[in-house]
Amino acid sequence: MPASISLTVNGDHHPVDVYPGELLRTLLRRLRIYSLKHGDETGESGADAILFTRTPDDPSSYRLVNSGILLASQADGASVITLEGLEEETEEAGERSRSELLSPRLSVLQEQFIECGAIQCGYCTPAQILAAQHLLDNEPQPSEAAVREAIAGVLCRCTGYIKPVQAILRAAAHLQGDTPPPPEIDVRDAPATGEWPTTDQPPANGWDDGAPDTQTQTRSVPMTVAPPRTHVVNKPEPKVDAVKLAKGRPVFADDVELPGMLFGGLLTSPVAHARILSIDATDALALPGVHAVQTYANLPRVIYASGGQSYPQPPPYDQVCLDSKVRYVGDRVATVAAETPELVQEALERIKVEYEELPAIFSADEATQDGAPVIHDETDAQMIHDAKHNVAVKLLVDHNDVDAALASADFVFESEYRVHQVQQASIEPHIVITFWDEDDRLVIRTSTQVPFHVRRMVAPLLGLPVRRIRVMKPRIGGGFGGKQEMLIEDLCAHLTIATGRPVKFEYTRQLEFSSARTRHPQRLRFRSGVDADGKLVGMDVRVVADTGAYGTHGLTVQMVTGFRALSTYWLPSARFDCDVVYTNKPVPGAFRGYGAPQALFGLEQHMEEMALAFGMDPVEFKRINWVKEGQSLPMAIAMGEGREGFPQTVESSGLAECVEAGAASIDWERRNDAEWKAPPDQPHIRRGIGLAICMHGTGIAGLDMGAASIKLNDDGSFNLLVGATDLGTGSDTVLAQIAAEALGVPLDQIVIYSSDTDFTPFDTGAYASSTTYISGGAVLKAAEDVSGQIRRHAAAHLFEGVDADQLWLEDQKVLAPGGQAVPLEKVALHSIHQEEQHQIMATASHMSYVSPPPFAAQYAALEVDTETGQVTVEKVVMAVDCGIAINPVTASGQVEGGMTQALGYALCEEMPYDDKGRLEIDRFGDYRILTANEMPELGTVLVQTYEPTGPFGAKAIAEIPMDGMAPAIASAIFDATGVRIREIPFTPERVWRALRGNSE
Amino acid sequence: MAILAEYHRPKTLTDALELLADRTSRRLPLAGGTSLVGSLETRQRRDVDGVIDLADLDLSYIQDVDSNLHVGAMTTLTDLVEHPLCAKLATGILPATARFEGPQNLRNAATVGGLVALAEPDSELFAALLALNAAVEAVDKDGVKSHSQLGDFAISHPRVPGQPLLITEIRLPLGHTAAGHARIARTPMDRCIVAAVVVVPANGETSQSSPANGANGVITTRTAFCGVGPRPQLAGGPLAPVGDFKGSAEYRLAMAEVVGRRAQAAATGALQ
Repeated sequence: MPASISLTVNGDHHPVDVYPGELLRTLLRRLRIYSLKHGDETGESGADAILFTRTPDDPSSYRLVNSGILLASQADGASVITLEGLEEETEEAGERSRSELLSPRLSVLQEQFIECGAIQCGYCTPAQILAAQHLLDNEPQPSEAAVREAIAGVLCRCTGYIKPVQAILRAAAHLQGDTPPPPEIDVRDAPATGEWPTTDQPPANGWDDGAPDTQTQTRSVPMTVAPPRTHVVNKPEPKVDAVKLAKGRPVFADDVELPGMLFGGLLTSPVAHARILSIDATDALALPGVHAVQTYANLPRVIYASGGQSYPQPPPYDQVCLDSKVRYVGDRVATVAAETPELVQEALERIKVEYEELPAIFSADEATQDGAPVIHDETDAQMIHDAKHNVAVKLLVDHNDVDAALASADFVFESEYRVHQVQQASIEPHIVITFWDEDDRLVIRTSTQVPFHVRRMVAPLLGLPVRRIRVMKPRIGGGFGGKQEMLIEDLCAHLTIATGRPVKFEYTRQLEFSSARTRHPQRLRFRSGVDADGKLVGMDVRVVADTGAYGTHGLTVQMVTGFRALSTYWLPSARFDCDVVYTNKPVPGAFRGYGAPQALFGLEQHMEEMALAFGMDPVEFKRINWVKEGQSLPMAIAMGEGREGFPQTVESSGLAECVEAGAASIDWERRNDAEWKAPPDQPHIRRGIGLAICMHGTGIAGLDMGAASIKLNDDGSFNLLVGATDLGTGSDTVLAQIAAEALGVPLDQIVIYSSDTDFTPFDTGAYASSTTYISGGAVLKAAEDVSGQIRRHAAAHLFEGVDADQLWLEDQKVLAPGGQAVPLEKVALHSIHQEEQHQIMATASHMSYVSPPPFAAQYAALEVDTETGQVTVEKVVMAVDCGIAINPVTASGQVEGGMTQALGYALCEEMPYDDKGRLEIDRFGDYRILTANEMPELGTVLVQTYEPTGPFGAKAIAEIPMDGMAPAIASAIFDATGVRIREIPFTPERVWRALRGNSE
Repeated sequence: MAILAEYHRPKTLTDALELLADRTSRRLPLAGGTSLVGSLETRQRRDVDGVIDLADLDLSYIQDVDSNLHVGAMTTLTDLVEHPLCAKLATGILPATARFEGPQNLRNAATVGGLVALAEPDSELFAALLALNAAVEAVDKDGVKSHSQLGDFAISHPRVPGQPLLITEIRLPLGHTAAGHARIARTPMDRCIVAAVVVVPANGETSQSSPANGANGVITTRTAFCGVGPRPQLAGGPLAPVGDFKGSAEYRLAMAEVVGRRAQAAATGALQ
């Protein structure tokens, strides 16, 4: 029975009815306090933090607590402050005043979060700002350590915490009356000659000769080349979506209320491998308020692959919405739709399932043996390579005769490495809301990286044509590849079809770990040969990859593993031989890096080990072998994304400069300092520094396509509609910067919207490090088209005796060589209303047959406790060549966040199982994500080259930060101790055993 | 989702104990909720019909009584470690170990009573209380108070039906001691795999006490370990670690010697 409680929220008194089990978080969201986010159920994400007191008369008694681990009833008589409560002059809690709507006011903290680029996905931002505000209220001049401690309870998966900490420190300074200098980003140009375009002619948008250099203030411009002058691109512009995220506005998938909305839930398998003999949902359906229970018996059986990829989906096709067989602990069994989350839970617990348990297999090596349990014995699965031996996919790629090359090599080296399973763990769980619209079309509001793929993929599962489905992508609270999957949209949509009601279905954190996607574990064996000069003559890579119970991204992730393993260094001959194997474990899929971190962990150590065995300096060995400008990537043709690829040649590379810049930042010479390496006063401590180089891709050549539409508005501003998907990466901002640059307007004149399958043009989605390059290419084309239309209309009607080709757009005007200028607004009004009326607009799409690689050097400095095996990382550095950084702030944010995830991959994140295939972790904490108060120093250097095929010279940056950290740490541990550890993560016991020559 | 039929917030200990003793419903005491609410929400605990919120029982206090610190069971971990007497006790071992109970937003809600009741095997603050020779006061359904040393105190839920016991207070002897602390974890702020806390007397005496002879406020060197048994424990008894994904039993056993030695050295160093 509900009870009445009295609660004060942001100064407003609320008498409300609550159920005994209701959480304070859900109550506050019922009261339309949307800044609180659901990150987990156990209080470790901190996304739901509030300021709370039971003695509101004492303002100093407010404390930061997590509303998701307080019962609403516990708050009876209490007072709560949320981010909304920090706003001044609000008319009503949850409402925005008229003045606020006309001109949003920002607190100093919010301003600094925006200026510093501290907001990526923004899901944790309200809690971070609230925690920071509480700190500054009590400690106006905090130390960095105090700031880190204050926000340590709010997990951030995007930023690496540098920029939030910087924002809080700067806010404190501002509040003390100081004006700190602008945030610094280390951006420098690769000092090669001829990389920048050396033209004397202004680009399409024009510039004035002799104008001051407008590059970012930290750039050092080589004297030998002429940099492009830009006004918006290559500038640290604030993110276009920052204000709403800083203010905690309702922008995420969960932040809507629909009349009559039901809640969905999923019953998962408690066993690793079983046939379902029967399911009895009678008791569940008997509960008043339960509207549907769905099982394999009442859903159509349509075979599909769930990876969010282009048509046709790479094989195998081995899934159905709900099956009569379960293949891992956490596999789908049944769904429920009911009036409340509590009813959903009760109904799920009332469903009786009879399982016939089957032998299960958890080792990829054992799964391929004769007699192993067959995981996919269904007859309707398609394109499984060898179902009887659990081989989902077989990859075998040869380039020249590697056996002959190795036979003739002066030196051959062979070594093996293992990488483990980890999870993307975005703080926002997977969440979907489905409903019928007024035209009987199914609307899917979902937190996805691939809205267009979801629409195409879900249609056959629902029996609806694509035209009757609309997919809306609101803001996304992080994805990292985990949402490049059609994961639960089908189940939620089926519940809406069954009930006719809107349904919201959100994963719990427990379901995220058991039933979402992960990174592929692999065993990698490298065999390479070199000639007498240390030049590689061939490399043979054998990989056994574990794809868990279903194939999904198994083919393409492993293809990338092979491509990265065999293209980072130039190889006259190469072979990639890979089995992608089913096991009865949760399913790997796409995860930032997409096979490259696995490959690089093996490759970089293999190269280092080989150099030492051969008698060369490892860095020099890498330097003479890494791919260089002008060299082709022979494996690119054989290893496309699930199909034949296209020829690739490296057009730009700042790798040598990255290695140099990173070495300076990490103080590489300390490797030769005996006292630093073995401090005399700490005999159990050894220190070391390691390096790994990385090469990634920029979109999928010949496959990825993005499109953009731009139209001119009456006031001279532009609408930019893109299908691209900003996960928090800043891609909306970067795309808007590209448009603004090409159209000669400041960033605030671009109104960007992404993405909705009804309103925005197609885009493959946010993956493969493609958005800046591919979607940005489309934006640039559309903008150039619109620019041409504007110039033609202006030349025809608003200038006299000037050709359109002589005009350019700058400073919101159309300019002519003689100094004439016509405001864009005048062109807009004239073209729309006055003469030769038409809408100036353009749509363009872009794809590329090349995928220019970004390059990077990653360094780690650390100490190893030789008594305990504990590794403590002191500093990590990444120097990266991402072409021209369209936005240095968002680019460096990508590096910092990616490096932090990569540190977790190397040190502490893992998915351990018991002997029944049950995960031993189901919450944050056990699954350790690094917190703000335990981060090593992070260093980022953007080493700019000019990529001639990219928009304004840009290449990718999103994924490469993930690639080289684990091998850099392995290298540093070796430097410190002389012990090579060929398996991650470097947990204390693993290192301890390795130091004693005693692997598990 | 949490499925609860009842929520009670009694005003007196007697009422709370009566509600807990009532066998018609399965009820648990609710302190800060940082553990219980999550376990209800995840359905890790399904054996609960209702909760008894102890918030209104006036059990949040810290008092200096006859060279002993009396800490009410509902005192939050933050209030405990920020109290001037606690913060300085044994060279600051309470705030030093409390950091590893979780971040501020958890420590602001978690209570001393909850910490004692849960006795989590990797609780370094619990180990510090053990090493400081804390005592526990509890009250039964008849209102009878009992006192025992923390090392001897165990509470589990559900209790014997109809026989509830509520922790009301812990007592810490205030001596001029120093402490040392050593730990091993996957990351600097992760909960420990193995840890040790050593408390030494001001006179530098380093003889190790057995769990028994440290009672009654007598200050001797005391070592407490985490991660080597089902709950933190004092040195002197057998260590029976259970392996898990963070560390095998063999590793934990080997590391107990290392952290014990380091904590001892740190404590000795703190005296100088």
